[in-house]
Amino acid sequence: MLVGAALLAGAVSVGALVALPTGFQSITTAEQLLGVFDLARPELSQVATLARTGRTREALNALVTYYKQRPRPLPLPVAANSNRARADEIAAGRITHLSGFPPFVVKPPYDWDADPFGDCETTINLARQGWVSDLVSAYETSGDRKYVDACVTLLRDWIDRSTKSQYLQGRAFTQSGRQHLWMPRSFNLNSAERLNVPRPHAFFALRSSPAWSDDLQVAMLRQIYNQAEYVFSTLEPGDDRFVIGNRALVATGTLFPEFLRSREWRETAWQNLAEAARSQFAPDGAHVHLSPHYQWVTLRSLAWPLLLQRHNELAVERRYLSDLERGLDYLLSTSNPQRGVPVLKWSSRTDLRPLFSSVQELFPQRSDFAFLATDGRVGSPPRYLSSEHRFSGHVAFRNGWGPSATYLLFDVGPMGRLPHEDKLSYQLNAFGAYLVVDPGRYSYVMRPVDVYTASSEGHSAVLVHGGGQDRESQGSATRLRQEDLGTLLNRPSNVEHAGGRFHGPWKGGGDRPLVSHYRDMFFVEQTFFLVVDRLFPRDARPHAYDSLVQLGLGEATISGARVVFRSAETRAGLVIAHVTTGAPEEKLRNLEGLHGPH
Amino acid sequence: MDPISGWTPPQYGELIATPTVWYSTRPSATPVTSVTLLYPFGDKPVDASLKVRFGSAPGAFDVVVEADGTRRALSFDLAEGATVRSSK
Repeated sequence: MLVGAALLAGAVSVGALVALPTGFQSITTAEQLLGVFDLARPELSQVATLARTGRTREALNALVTYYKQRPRPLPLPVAANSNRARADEIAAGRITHLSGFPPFVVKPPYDWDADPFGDCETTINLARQGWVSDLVSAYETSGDRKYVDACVTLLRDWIDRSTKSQYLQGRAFTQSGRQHLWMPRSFNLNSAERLNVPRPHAFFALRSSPAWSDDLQVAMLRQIYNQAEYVFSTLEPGDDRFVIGNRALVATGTLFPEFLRSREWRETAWQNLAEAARSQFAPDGAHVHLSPHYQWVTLRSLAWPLLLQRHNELAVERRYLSDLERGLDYLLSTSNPQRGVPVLKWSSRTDLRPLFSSVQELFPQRSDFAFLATDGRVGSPPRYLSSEHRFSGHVAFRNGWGPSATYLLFDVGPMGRLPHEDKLSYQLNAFGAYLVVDPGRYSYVMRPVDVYTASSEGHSAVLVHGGGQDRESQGSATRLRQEDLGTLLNRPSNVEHAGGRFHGPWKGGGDRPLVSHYRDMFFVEQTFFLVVDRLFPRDARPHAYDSLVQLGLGEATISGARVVFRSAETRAGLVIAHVTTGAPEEKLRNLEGLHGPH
Repeated sequence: MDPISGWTPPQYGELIATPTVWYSTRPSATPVTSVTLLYPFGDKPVDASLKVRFGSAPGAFDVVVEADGTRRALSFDLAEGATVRSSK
């Protein structure tokens, strides 16, 4: 059945491109809304009486009154990092949402298709409505009605007019490129994200505000129900989105147990979450994406429903606690001294402290989790230093757990689901600075710079004839293989060692070079690193090689074959020296800020 | 033409120019081996240097790293696994 994504707004639209599950029917009328509540519940007896006698309007008023007074269950408090300045911007009509982009103006008539930066994430984030929580948090801390007024105005417009959105109607997809492969699936995710935080946050936190009208609360209830049904009907197993969708179902089923469907949402979602926790994490704790930021996203969504239960003094579901802990252990052991994830694949400098702070109540016995959460003020550091992850192929070298420790993450593993051509690359942090960096992600739009950040050219890797690795050409079966790579980290004498091999394919089309790259990483006396690259042609042809070292924010000075890099982040730096045999060397180059970003 | 090079996005949607060091070789049909020293330092820059003597056997080489008057000599044999020993 092809109809619009009208359920997102609770009205019907015809002729759009988004496929809805067969039999899915969103509710649109007051009578339908009353019909999805379990009116046999004693606490809804007044609503039931009014509904039975056809006094629909009064029944809805009774329903709103019930929710205004209901003590529990309530949503988890939104973290205090929701800052007032953001809310002020939003209240003034400037939406702030994506980290690297400036606020942009959204004034009536609101444009829910806004894409001021040529990045569809802008439109997607408008639809996920994180801005609602910014406003609600500001109201909670200040009591200033302007935040409620702004929230009401924006939400009303969303409810009334978002069905006109080209994006939400599915008309904004391009038919080529990568975007269209995943953008339609983002509808499920958008609905789930709204259900996870902003909608219940606003519904309960604003319920006593005079500016928060009864009819808006009724519209919110209708949307919450429709969105939960939509999420339930469009779940797609596999990755973080599945976990986020099921988190939304647990959250909605827990916070609104009065819906007739809530029990099924909860029971199905708990089962799905347990299965996802079991199947999405390898024995070494790494998530299928091999992208630590998305591992963080997934673990946060697994932990959230458990924390919601604790918050409401409900028995905590235990069937996936050990899998959750295993995933957290991976993040702990690979965390960098800045308490962030290693910036691999589609990662950024994600701060792990809030997550580890929130899970302390689930794992009170883990003093090392407390250590990470508090920057060492509470708890104790892990008993180990360097660590290996035999399925992800991630080896973390470190000489301590303090913020100035020396740390290097070496990737000898498979590609994972987010194709970055980064095998044998590394990132190095020391003395509080990012010294050698992995680019992670810039955006999901796939501009040339996004191709660059996914390519070997964007990593501290080796190129053959200017071309990098081409694992993506092997198809997903090879990329997604999960196998035990065996022992990765060795400790001969006072040197720690790990090594990896890459036998191709390299880029080059029909004339691909046949070259094997062996890279061995040595951490000597926990002080410095030696990177040994060996390149073996297997086709008897001459090949030229480039070995790249991607440095962080700062200045690099070249002197002969030696480079001195000084970080602009802290008083720290790096000396790089390089010796080659087997081929004449070209002059050492520093290629900084070349041909970009658009 | 040189490729895109030397960009880092510290967060989504933000891009800054950063140095990228390119060590390049001319074409060669024989195996190529390189050793790269990465020596981090804090407040005080370190005066670090690297010397490598490649042996006749594949994967065998000696390395000397000197840093602020401290000399470390290591012998490597990567032919089968990785053997490292301190040397004089």
